[in-house]
Amino acid sequence: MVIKMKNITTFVLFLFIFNYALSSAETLPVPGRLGSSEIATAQFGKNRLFFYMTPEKHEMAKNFMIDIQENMQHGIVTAELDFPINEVTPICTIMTDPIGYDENNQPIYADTKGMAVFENHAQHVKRMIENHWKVHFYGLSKDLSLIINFDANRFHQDQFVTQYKFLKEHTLPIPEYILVQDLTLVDWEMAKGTFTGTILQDEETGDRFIFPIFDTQIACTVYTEPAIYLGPNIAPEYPGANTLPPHCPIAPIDRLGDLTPGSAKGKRVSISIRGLVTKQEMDEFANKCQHLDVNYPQITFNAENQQTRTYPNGLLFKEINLQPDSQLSVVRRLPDMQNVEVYERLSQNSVELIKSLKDTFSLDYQPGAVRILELTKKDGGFSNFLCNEESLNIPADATVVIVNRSKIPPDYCHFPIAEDFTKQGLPWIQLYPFPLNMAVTLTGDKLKDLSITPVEEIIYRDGRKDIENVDPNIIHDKFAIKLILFVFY
Amino acid sequence: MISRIFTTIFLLLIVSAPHKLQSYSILEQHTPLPGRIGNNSVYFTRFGKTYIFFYMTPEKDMLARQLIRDINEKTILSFGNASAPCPVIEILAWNEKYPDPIGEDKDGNNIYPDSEGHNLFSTYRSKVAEIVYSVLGTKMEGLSGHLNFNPNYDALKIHRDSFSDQYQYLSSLPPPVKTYYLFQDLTLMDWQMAKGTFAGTLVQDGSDGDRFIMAVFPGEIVGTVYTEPCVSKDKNSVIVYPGRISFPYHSSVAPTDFDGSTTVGSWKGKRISTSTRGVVQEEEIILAAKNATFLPINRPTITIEKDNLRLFEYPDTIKIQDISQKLANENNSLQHKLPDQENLTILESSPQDFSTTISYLKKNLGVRGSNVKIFHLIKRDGGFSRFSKLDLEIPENSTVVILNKSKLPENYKYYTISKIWTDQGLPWIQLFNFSPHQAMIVSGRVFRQLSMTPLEELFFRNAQIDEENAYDSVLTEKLVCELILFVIN
Repeated sequence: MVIKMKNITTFVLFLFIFNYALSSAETLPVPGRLGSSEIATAQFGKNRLFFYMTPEKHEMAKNFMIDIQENMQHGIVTAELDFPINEVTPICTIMTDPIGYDENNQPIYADTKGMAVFENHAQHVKRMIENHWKVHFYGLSKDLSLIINFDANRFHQDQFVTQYKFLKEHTLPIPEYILVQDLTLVDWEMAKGTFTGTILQDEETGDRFIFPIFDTQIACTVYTEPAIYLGPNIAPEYPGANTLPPHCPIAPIDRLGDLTPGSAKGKRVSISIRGLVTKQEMDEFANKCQHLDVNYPQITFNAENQQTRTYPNGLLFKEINLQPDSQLSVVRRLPDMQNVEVYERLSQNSVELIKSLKDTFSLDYQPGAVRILELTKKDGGFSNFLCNEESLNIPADATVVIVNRSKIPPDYCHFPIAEDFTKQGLPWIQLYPFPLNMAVTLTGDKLKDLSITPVEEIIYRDGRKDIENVDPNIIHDKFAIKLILFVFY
Repeated sequence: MISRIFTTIFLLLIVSAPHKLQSYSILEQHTPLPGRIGNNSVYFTRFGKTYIFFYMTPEKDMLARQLIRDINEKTILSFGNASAPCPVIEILAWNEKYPDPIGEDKDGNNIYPDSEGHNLFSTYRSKVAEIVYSVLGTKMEGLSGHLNFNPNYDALKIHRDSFSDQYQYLSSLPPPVKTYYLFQDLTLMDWQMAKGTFAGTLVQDGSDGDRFIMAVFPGEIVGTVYTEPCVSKDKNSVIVYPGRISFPYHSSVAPTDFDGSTTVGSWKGKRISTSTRGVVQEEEIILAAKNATFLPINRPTITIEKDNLRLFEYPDTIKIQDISQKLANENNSLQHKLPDQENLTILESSPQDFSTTISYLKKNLGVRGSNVKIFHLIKRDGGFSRFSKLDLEIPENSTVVILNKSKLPENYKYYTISKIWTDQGLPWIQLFNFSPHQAMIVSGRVFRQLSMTPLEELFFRNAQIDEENAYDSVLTEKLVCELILFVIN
């Protein structure tokens, strides 16, 4: 019996490890990480992003991590007030501005050694960009963020003070310049099975994209955006904190729906090196890169001004008039799916709703050939839709319509469904905007590519509201992601 | 003194006669908890051989708040490896990372790598020792101190303490050495904790007993003192450092959601604690306890019943009884799904589906009544989900039998149910050690005083395993807390 138990334990352990290995495996090299030699680029609205990593840059980042821990002094500062974030005190490198000047007018810094280390790193990154990309990098500045928890993390836009100062002082005529930010995210003892990254809100379509790193990774994304010119041969004025789309850092959180490393999630570091490159050089460089397609929707409106979002990957969202659910429902509980509660509802109680969905999506099905599954998620990690017989038991050729019944505070945005494109070799995870007045249809086969988004409050914040309001410390009702799946055979 | 005696008697009455609890909380609702500013009394309780004192004075509160300002504005920080059992990278004050002098000035005074930090913290320690002496009458010798930053759960595991500096001090004393107590002033400080959070120190009662969180809430500074006899004299009465065995198993708790139904969001804030350590002569501790008000712990008496089954009877009338067979097995029956309350999923089952279990409860636990209602409560996130806020129409005079169907990883401990004693004027929250092989029996009235424990993985960790194993980031299955309530009257 003891041997048997031991065998069972070993088997269970094996399953855990196998499951983790499967879920953490990126089947294709992902741009921006070590092992992906090509430089890839993708367009997000007016922003062009580049993804690149070289063994040299990887090594530099690792060495810089040692410097951060051993050779730089740190302190507490209040988060920048221009940013629409709480006046909290993140752990942050002591301000990089000089505290004075010596007799030769050379700057004196609070941490001379740390400053030299950081400046050396920034110059190294600059040289690397100039050599590899064949561009000239002007107006260099640097910033370091130690992401230890979610303090001071809110959606915001960036300030490029140094770069606009460079442009202002530029001799006329000024060529068109592109603002460039080399943002390197570095694992800093992230716990196993976690992810972290930058979440970016696309202001045109409302989709969100997480540019993640997983534990042990170092990734580099270069964000670019045209500088704002007021007119020909007029030097740009500093426009304030309005550069790059609304975005936010994510501290390490659980990546997997069913597994967790526990309370300790670890930390990460962001190293941001900023500058300017002329548009001409940037365009020439972009033409040499591998271009990545973004799964952007085609958005249309019908005569009643109801929205339809058609995604290239087959997801079809439609606005629909839905009846509220009854407060009490009769259910049969099924085994949890990746820590998501699964209940099967009786279809005879939802005849009207089924008819409405059938009409909206022009579904052809036999009466009775529909199952209704209610899924509830209340914690972190991406919970994959498991369609196999042991879980949801949804055939690949079935048509699935999903209705969003999530409970999140009214001033938040609904992103209950995610697609991890890193599994397809793309360096992002897409979060689909899915308000309560919409339904989405897809095949059972496509459903397997999707997951339910982690219930991490920051992911659902309204980026624009964050930017417009200095957010006080507000208590909200807890979040619960609830999806109703109608499976038509 | 008379008032202290009266308070002691009164508190003893609380645990022996729970019907007094409500009136107590009404009487004391405007009195700050022990250890907080505004409550000038000194209190203590006992965990085995360890005394825990609670005290606060205006001077101590001001001293702590000034320290936070100094940390925010003046302190140089770095990073280093935390000590065992979890040596991950944590924040360190520069003067603690480099504590040794690097030379002497012309007057023979030591020069430190961070002289300002060194002076700041040594002054703080001296002032704490002075305040301790003025309040408790205990003279600290062999002084040392640590500053602990808790911005997240990194490096937090359940452990016991090492007092190497104090044992070294004692071993340097000329014999005969008097009987000394290890003494630690542990001051917990809000460091911009978000609204609606709590933090604190988790203390385990004995090797496998209940756990108690000595809580700190936003805005608070909490003064505690842990003290216990030095243990290690060899046969010649020579003091020998015994290793990391001091104080009960404990862990820091980083800011976490307090409320079951609401959240402040991803941003939780940070806390700091200072531990000022020394040794104090035994008679001073005994005298300090004699002059303080005793706070009784709701600790069970354990009796062994038929078939070696244990019965835990608590002073507040809660009973926990071992059960001899697996009850309330999974079934596939239809259930009513009620609206979520306290962010718990609530299902109601038919008594017919649990007739075997109900028979067992009536036969073996002496529960009487013919009217039975069955509820399932499922919790997957943080915060204390209070039973008093559930609208389940449970009469006060009914008997509630609770079975624990939680799913925790192997070796984790089941602290699924808590009692928030801070509601009743005591400075802790009790987590009951309540395994799936047991039933908890409470009246409908006492049931309303309980909560489901936040699903913070740290709270459920196994102390012995934490202590014996060096930290490694390990993935485990997600934790799910699930209770089945049998409401019988």
